[in-house]
Amino acid sequence: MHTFRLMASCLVLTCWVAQGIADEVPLHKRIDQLVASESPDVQAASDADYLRRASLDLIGRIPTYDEAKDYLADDSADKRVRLIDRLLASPEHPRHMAEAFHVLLMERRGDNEHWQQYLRVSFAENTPWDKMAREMLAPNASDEERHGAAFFMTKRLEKVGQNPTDHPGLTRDISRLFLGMDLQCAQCHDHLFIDDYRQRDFQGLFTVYSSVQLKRGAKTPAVDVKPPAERLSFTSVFEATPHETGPRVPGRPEIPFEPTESAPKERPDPDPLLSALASDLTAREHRQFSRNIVNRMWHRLVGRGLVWPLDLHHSGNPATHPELLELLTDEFIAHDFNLRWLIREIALSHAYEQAREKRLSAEQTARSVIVALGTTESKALDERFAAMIEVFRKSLANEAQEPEDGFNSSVKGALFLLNDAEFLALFEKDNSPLVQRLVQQDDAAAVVDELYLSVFTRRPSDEERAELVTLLEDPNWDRAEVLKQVAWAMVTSVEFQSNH
Amino acid sequence: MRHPLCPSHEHRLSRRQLLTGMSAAGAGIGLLNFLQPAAAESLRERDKQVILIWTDGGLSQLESWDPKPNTRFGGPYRAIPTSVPGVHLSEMMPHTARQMHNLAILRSVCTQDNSHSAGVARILRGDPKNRGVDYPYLGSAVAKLMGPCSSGLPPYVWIKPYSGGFKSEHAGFLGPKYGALAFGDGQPPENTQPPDALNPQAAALRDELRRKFNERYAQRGRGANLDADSHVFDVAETLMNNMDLFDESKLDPKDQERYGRHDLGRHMLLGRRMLEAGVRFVNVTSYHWDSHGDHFNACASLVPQLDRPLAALLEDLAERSMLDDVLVIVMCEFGRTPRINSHCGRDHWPEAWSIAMGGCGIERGAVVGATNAEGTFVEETPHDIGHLFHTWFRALGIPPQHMEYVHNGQPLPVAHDECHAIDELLS
Repeated sequence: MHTFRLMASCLVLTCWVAQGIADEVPLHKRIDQLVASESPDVQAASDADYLRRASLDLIGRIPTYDEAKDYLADDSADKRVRLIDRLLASPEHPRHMAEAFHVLLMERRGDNEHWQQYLRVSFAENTPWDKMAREMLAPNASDEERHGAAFFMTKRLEKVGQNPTDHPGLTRDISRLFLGMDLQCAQCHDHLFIDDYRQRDFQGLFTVYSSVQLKRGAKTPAVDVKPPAERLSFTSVFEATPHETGPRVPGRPEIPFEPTESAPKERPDPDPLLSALASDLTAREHRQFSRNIVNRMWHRLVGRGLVWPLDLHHSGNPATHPELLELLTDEFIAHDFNLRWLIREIALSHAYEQAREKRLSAEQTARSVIVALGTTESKALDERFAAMIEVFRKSLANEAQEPEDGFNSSVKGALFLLNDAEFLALFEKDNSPLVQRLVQQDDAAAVVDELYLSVFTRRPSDEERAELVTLLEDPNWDRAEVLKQVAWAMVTSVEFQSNH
Repeated sequence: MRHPLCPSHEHRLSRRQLLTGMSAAGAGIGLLNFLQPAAAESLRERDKQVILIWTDGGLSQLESWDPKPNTRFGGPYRAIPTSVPGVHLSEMMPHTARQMHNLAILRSVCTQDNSHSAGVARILRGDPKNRGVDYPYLGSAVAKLMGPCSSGLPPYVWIKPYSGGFKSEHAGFLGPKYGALAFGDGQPPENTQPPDALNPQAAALRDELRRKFNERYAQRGRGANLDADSHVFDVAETLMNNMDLFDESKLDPKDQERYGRHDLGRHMLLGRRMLEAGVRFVNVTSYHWDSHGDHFNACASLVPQLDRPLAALLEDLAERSMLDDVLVIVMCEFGRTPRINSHCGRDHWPEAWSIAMGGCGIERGAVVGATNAEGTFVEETPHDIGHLFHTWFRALGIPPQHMEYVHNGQPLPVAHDECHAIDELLS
């Protein structure tokens, strides 16, 4: 008996000590412990692959020729860590995050300068995700820098033709994007085959978000709230029993809220009803809020969600690595919802070294094409990007309301790459410093090496080099013409057009 | 979500798989697990096609398919006999009257929505039961259920006035891949013409090079997206190789005369050529049929614009032995009121109207259903658009037991589950 107690105490002590030690082990190492190598065939990325992947994922573009050359020549053992840290410290990182989250949250519905300001400021300051969510779900019109967060809701509240305001759509998007749960099918009845999604889950959110309206006469995105005067009554289309709910986050208890008759004008800003729900939704104890975003960040970097689809978390759709997902969730909360910290930890893991192929966004493609073709100075790059991005978006971005979380080859995109005059003009030597430079370079092998490093971010194999040298030295072809077409073929190839 | 019936994002079929028959039964049909190999093969071989002529705004059935001359609401126009004894059309349609033996009319159409904004979509979606998803339009549905024809041309094209482009919203939950490729005023989409500066040798070189780079990449064990990528470039190339379709100088002037040189005439001639080239579903739209005022003058101007090319189309399809394989549908969002309003116009009337069809699987010369003597309401059994969707899918040879999509694991009937095919319309 005593022995048992002694052993139990020792066990407790050991665990407590082990926990203490575990706290000092960085998250990325703990990730590695949990993620055994997927399969023997999956190789960790080569230097070149890793550099390209990290650049695309953290600053939204491929490395420049010089960045590639320097990195590949660097011999130091810790160069990957230093690369990640350099990229995260660059001003291009928050800009890329703003772009990526704009697409994630607005799904190409439209844009707004105040919203852009909001994203810029938020990511420049590495605003914690819970704060960002509260700013979007309970916007504060008097916050000069961040009032644009209201655009998340206001864009979705705009009427389309004679259709009524799409409050169910807004509710659904909030559940999808902030909770990873697509409750669309739970509006009129309990979800037919996902037991976890009940009608009262949808309705508990709906009672809040159906009371939001566009603020009349507002020059910047802003909302008014006409709170419900009573609890929301709802019935399933399959049963006759009426039910009721107050404001409620799925999976959590109802939020105590007094139904009120106050007019929208009299209500404080941010609205108390919206704030009450947003606070509960973003609470530390509400793990699903954190689980959703860590899964999305994991997917964004590693190329596959631990839970997939990203907006279909439920007990019948478990994570591929449940322990890992819970670990990421725990640590994200413990680190106060710090996105940049999370991204760094994932980027330093072996899982990231083995990341799957990912799609390039229209923005990544545009910037990378401009860089590949030799415009690398940051001001010139920004100018060219601003001039060209709409053309790229028109053909390469998804349609509005289509999440961009996977490949989406389109005929429109193919036609763009094949025939668009503005795109093709980029390859003319007057527009491409790379082509301009290489036309004058006599040494064909050196030309090939520079082409590969600039466009593919790697060195050619001997075979690849030999093949292209033969082509370049072919007297039947004009050197400038060949260079243009080779550059085009490289840029439009799948190797360039994907993030591998 | 791991569901045995659920096609995940990673299982997109490529055209190569389609043509080499590599993938499981149902390749090119999109029904995957549902369709037996034999049925799939036979559907593909016969290459059934559809042409839908849409008179946006609401063609008046009283001035076309179901005239009621000398009645209270009949209006000034008379009825004329057709090539089918006992069947009369409005005198506004003399050419089509001569082709009546190639058509069928359902005169007992009774639908739910009298608004343009919602009504158009409801009709084009077959007005199915609300299951919380956006159903695809008929063209997208056919593109999904039957796939592209062996020509490789996009399966769903839309010839219309004004703007063109990729209209993915038609596809609803099926996804943008099944959207419409719209030819604004019959013009090809953007970027189908390579720039003048690109000579054929350079074009060949760059294509060859791009393929080589992709091959190399595949050899290194990469390329999750390679198949989908080469598929879209193949389709793009097919489009580029079929630019003749848009070249008006290649047209036979006799055809241009017969169809008429007005928009709808030109567009329907292009539609015929699209069918000949091997497009699965061609939608031709004509606008401005919503005549709430001065309706009879409007009809005098508009109905002949439909009459001539429609008759020419039927004649041409018959002549080319295509009529057994091409389903022709003439429809809109609703009919027009028998009551003539104070602007000498007719308003919206979904309660009793007509839809005409012919060709593949449709009984020739059939007139099914009737309205009462004044045309105000349907006599006996009304039919909703759901009935017609069932009828058309049956006419196209889609087996009744396979009339289901599977979306994120949720089975969704292809047409309204409480409707059924109208046997009298089927041959």
